[in-house]
Order: sequence, then C-alpha cells, then structure tokens
Amino acid sequence: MWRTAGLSLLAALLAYATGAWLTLDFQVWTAEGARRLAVARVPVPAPATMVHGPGIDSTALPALLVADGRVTVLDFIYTRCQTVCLALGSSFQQMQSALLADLDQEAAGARGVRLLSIGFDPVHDTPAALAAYAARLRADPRVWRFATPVQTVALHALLARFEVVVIDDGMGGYDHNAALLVFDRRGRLVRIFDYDETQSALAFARQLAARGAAG
Amino acid sequence: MNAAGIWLARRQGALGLALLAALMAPPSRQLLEASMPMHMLLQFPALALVGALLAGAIPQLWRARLQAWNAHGIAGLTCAALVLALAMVPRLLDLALLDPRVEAVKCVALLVSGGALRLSWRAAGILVQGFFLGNTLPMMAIAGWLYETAPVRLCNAYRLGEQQWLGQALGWVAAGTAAAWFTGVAWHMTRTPLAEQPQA
Repeated sequence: MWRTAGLSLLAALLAYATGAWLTLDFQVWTAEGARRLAVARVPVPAPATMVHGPGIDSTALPALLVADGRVTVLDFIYTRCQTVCLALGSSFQQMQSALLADLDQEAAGARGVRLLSIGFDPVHDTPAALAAYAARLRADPRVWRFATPVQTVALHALLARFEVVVIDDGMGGYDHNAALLVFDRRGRLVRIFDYDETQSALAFARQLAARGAAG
Repeated sequence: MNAAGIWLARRQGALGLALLAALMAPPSRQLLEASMPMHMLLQFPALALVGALLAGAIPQLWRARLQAWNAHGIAGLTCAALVLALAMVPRLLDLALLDPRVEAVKCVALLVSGGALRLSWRAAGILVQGFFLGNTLPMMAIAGWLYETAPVRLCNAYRLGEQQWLGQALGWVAAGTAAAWFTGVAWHMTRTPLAEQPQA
C-alpha cells in the first residue's frame, strides 16, 4: 500500500509541475493567454521583415516602428475580411479620432501614438489593395498607416515571432487571433490587448509615449 | 473466448504497435490534428487504446510486480485521471501542434493513461472505479460546457464552431460513460448474490 501511495503521490507531483508549466503557474489556460502574459513579462523585438505599403517604400519593420519616436498600436488584418477585421477597423477608427485630437499637442513637441495595420494575405493585400482599404476606413496617414511584407517567406517569420496564428475559416477567409499589439519607441512588442479594449490600449500607449518622452 | 478472440489477445502487442505506427504517420497525424474534435475525440482515445493494447502484452510476471505498486488500481487510475485533467487544457492542443516535444509528451502520457486504465480497472472494484469516474466525468462535462459556451476561440489553431461542437460532444461522452458504468454495475449486482459481491 505504501508503494501505491508513493507512486500516486509522485504522479500527482509530476502532473502538478506539468500543469504549472502549461498554464504559466495556473494563470492562463489558452495559448493566447500565454502569448499575452509572455509579452508583458519580456518584450518581443520586431523581426527585420521588409514591408511596404501606401506611402511606405520597402523598409525594415523595426526601422518603421522607431522612425519618428512614436509608440505604435499595430494590428494584423486582411483586406478581404468581413468579420473580425471589421471590428478591428472600427477599433482603429475610434483610436484614430482620439489620436487626431492629440496631433496639436504633438506639434508642440509631445511624443504621440500612431497606428499601423499589417496585411497578412500575400495574394490580395498588395499596397494598392491596402490603399483602397485605408480609403474605405477613412484612415488618416498622419496617424494610421498600412503595410505588408514584401516577401511571403518573411511573412511567416513575422507571424511566428508575434505568435499570430492564421487559419482557414472554412468560408474562403481566415480566422486569426486578432488583437491590439502595442510597440514601444524601440520597436518592441510590450503589451497585447483584446481588440475591443480600445480605451485600455490607447491609455497604455499614451502613458508609454509620455514616459518615453520624459526619459 | 472464441478462436478469433484468442488470436487477437495473443497479438494485441503487435496490434497496438501497428495502430501506433498508423496514428503517428505524418499524414494521419496531420489529418487527425486538423480539427479540434478529431484531435480530442479520436486521436486522444486512439492513443489510450494503443496504451491499453500494449499493456495487455506485458508478461504475467511483470504485471504481478506492477500490481505491488498499484493496490486496488489506485496508482493507475490516479495517473489516468491526472493525464485526462491536463488533456483538457486548451493550450495543450495549440502547443502540441507547434512544439514536437510537447506532442511527444502528450502522446506518451496518453499511452501511459490507457495502459494504466487497463491494468487498474478490474483491480479497482466498484468503489475506486466510482471515485475515479466521479472525478473525471464531471471535470470532462464542465470542460465541455466551458468549450461550448466560451464566446472566443480557446485554441488559436481551431475555429469557434468546432470548439462548440467538441464541447457538446465532451458532455455526451461524460454522460454516456456514466450511464454505461451504472448499467454495468446494476447488471452485475442483479446477477451476483449479495454475499458474493466483491468488496471494494
């Protein structure tokens, strides 16, 4: 009986350790939760993916993110999307109107926040398609830009770095773990918000921008 | 046992290995893991079945030695219950697709749980069996309910529709297993005179 009790206890300890590892100390249950927690703990630098888009010549993503000292809220989209990207689009529209109001202060020297949407459908999200998409959403290029990787191979590395998983939605489109990704002024992903947490994401990004400007 | 039964019983080790090879072949793995219900409701039980078949091929002498570590099947059923609990964590499904090490551990754990179930079930008796099922089946039903009602995708690699379908199916599997077990217990009790009933 002691051997049985010992073996059961050993199994329980092993399962506890595995469970703690799997759920990051019982804090998260999903891969998405783990991604967000990991990013909040250790910032993830953007890979040197070459991107281009309306008004953006072929540039490395880190260079684009650090270009003018602003904090970036980034999302991944595809222009043919009829579902979640539309919600992301309206999230970005709300943030855009708030950020346009910030522009006056920025003219006075304050560091601001900008938006960047990255298209992940290599076939359809050409710079021209992105320009049309931007026009449809009334994106103002002063605060909201669009880009897509120049090469498809680089796209996979980019998605893998940020743990963006794109799957076939069974209706000719894609499902993806859509979210608001906040990058600091050094081009590192520092926090991930749900796409309906516009206010929190914006508040965090503004705080980050203000702190960066003071430092 | 009829001739076919004996033939199968003698070859269950080989059968288990053949099934394992079939399950682990890249095309079938890809197919089984392409959808959430197939991953959980087909691949998981199939791997446990392989474990059970392989356990059947363990020589009698070794079985007797193992039994000393598994009084009333308690250690074995504890292992199986713990593996089942971990298998319900949605992150496991996503990680298994991305990380071959996690995939390997997942498969080995499911094999072990299947083997442990087989080596422990009879020895457990009604009381320990009831305790095991009383823990795992409600857990499975609750996990199923969470999968079914979660408004967001719990796995990045799978669609919301399949998650809801899987959640519903998990509830049915839990209910079906409970019903089958109770039926078995009732059947056993009506056939065995009270004095001869096994004491758990």
